[in-house]
Amino acid sequence: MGMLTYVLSRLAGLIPVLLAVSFVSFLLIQLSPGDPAEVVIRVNALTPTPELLAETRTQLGLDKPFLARYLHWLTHALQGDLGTRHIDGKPVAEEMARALPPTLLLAGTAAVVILLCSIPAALISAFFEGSLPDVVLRTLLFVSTSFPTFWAGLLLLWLFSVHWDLLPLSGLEEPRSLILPSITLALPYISTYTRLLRGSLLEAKQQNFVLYEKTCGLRVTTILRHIFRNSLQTSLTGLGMSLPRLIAGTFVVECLFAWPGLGRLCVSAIFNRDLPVIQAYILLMGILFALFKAFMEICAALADPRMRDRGKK
Amino acid sequence: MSAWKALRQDKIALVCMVFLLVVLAGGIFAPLISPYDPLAIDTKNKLATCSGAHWLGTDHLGRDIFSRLLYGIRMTLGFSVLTTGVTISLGTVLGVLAGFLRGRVEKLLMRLCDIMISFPGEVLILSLVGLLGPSIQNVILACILAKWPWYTRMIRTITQKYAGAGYIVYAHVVGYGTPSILLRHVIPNAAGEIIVLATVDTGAVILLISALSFLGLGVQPPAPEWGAMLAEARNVMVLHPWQMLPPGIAILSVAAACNLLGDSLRDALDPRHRPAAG
Amino acid sequence: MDAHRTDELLRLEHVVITDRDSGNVLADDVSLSLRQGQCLGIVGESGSGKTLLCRAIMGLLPASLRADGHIFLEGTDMLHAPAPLVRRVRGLGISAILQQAMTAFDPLYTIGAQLREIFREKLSLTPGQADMEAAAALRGVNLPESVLQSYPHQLSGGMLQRCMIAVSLALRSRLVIADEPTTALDAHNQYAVLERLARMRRHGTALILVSHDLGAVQMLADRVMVLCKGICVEEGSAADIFHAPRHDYTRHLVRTRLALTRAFERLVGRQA
Repeated sequence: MGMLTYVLSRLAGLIPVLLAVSFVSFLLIQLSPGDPAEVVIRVNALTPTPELLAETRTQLGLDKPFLARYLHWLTHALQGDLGTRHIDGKPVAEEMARALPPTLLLAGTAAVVILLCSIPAALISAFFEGSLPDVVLRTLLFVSTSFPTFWAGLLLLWLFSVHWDLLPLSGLEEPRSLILPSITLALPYISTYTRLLRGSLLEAKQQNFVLYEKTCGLRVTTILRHIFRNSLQTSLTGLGMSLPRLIAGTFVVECLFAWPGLGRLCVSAIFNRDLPVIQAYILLMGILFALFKAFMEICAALADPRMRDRGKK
Repeated sequence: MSAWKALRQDKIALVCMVFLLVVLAGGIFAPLISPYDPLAIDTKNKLATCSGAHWLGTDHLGRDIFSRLLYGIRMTLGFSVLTTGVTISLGTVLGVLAGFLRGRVEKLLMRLCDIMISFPGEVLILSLVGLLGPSIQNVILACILAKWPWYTRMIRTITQKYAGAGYIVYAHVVGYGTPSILLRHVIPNAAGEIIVLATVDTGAVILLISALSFLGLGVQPPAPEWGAMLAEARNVMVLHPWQMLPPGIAILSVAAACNLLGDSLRDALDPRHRPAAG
Repeated sequence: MDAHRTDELLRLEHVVITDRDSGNVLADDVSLSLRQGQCLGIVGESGSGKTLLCRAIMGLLPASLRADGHIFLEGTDMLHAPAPLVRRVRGLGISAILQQAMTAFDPLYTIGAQLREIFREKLSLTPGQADMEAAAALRGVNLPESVLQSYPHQLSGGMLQRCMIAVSLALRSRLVIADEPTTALDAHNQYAVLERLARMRRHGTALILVSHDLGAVQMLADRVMVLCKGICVEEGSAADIFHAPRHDYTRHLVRTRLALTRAFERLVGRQA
């Protein structure tokens, strides 16, 4: 019961955050230089005459006061109407909905790659501290933090798709297309999470209960399970927080591999000065970020008996 | 100072520092050192391999890659240092203000920081560039706008820590005004943490600026920016893959040097990280 | 290897513990012998090497320390025998009651789950048997069965201390090392824990009681070793140490603790 109230209050706490996110998304567009009406007219290859400008402004609702425009925009956004693209008049929400699954697929796969690489790396590096594998791993991981994503992607692309002709060059036609983009996206994060997990493993290793389990003569694997479970507890939130950052970071990889996702949609919108798309992108990312944060905090609370009790009181 | 001593004993930090200084000098004196004009097109000599005449070969328009790399330092490293510098100044001023003035100013600033930080940095930068239009000025502006809240929050915490410290209270009692207290005490004390964050951040900004230039959102061709050079190398990737190497290695090594130096600085400045013996 | 006396449980031969980095000697040439069912009190101020010596006996010194000499527990050299062998001795041959009871159990699992795990592994029980054993073990230390479903943070230090005693009892360890078992507890819980340890002795378990609380040592130990800066300055029967201390350091300890001890005895007397 106590947990339920905690979850509900955490979800209720999301409402002001989401409102702030929506307000910022709206505000940023209002602050952007240039007259949106003029942009619309130019994009449609028309000459902006004063009459046409006035007409377009009324059409876009630009003549109303700021707050009224925000509320108007918000009510439409809540109904899933994010406006239309300047470039072809298609509904933005529809385009976003089409681009979201590939981005989520890419980020999700990258998250799996990160976990698959960083967990064993952290275990090796925490339990064989100072050994040769530990030093080699840490050096490799260090280099990978400084590796420019796009260069890593280019090198992988050249090696696997051009030189060896093993994997598709770009796009999303077959499952194999996923391999290179997800590895490229995961690369800089692997080292961050290996470090995070390694630190929490080393910390958990020093805990008093580990000593007690040792004095009881429990198997090494049993003790390791306890250490791992406890270290995961602390790094869980960090790992969860990486997911929206991963989604946000996809734009470079998406452009590099011509991946039909949100990031590429946004970058091409930037070149076209298609403000509604950019606005929708900010909004969606802000919402995803807030939702993931709340979700991970709830998960962490559910997994920790101490937190569960705190919710009760 | 013991931090300086610890740093001097750290060979990796020394190597990084010397490397970065050499790179910086290379950028500053690029017109004197570079053998060619970075923009001079020589279609007869395009895509040449390494030779005595062109140390790193030439690109698809016959421009000398070594000269372009040298001038690129001014772009990639120069713009990053500029960005970080402005961000720190802005963050420091606002953070010290928030930490010392408290009250409504602090609340307002911190609320603003919270909202900014609730967006992922990449999204904020990408969308700001989107709103302002693709150009390097806008990329720098977007980076500053996206990053100042982090510095402001950090500096505010440090300021508050020192604002309550005995000697600051004493300085107040003795009659020093707030500005002179700030200058004399808070900023030197916060300098260590600022330098660490700034060094690591410069590395991150280098990656970001070159990534955005690579996508065509930052420095526009034909300017010799490393990310933009990679974008051009990409077009000839199939037949001339080595073209990808010089700018990539340049970005990697400078970013890695910044990160390594930041790590060493943190160890040197934070006594907890310093080895006990010594 | 010498022939062991039939009832000898533990023998330390010239144990030297050194810090690998600094070369500091933390325990210097400690030798002792303990028979089955005996209780040895180790006293000394904090930093005198008591805890390190105990960890060496269990073969659990931190990697930064090096131990020379021999520690035989029922014939197994805890310092030099292969790790799996030493691990098997821990639990059944020797178990421990740690000082920081509040952090001695994994915070993410219930006490029941942790006891079950220990009993299943060390006593080779089925899950059902381990459940029954856990319930019985808690009854043996006067804890309600509801403790099984509790998480460590929901229990008091004294209760957790008794959970560790319950583990040692259920495993029927021949030697139990209690490292400062009462320091973190209030007077009432101190009494309860000491009383359990006394009962454990009556069951024939040998006990090493590490404490700077001479009252507790006087109550339980029949032999006492006094450690000062890693050196054993005096060793003998409890009566001799307390009533006719020979070494200055021992005299100092006894004198400073005498007042406390009297107060404690009064409390114990009233409760019993």
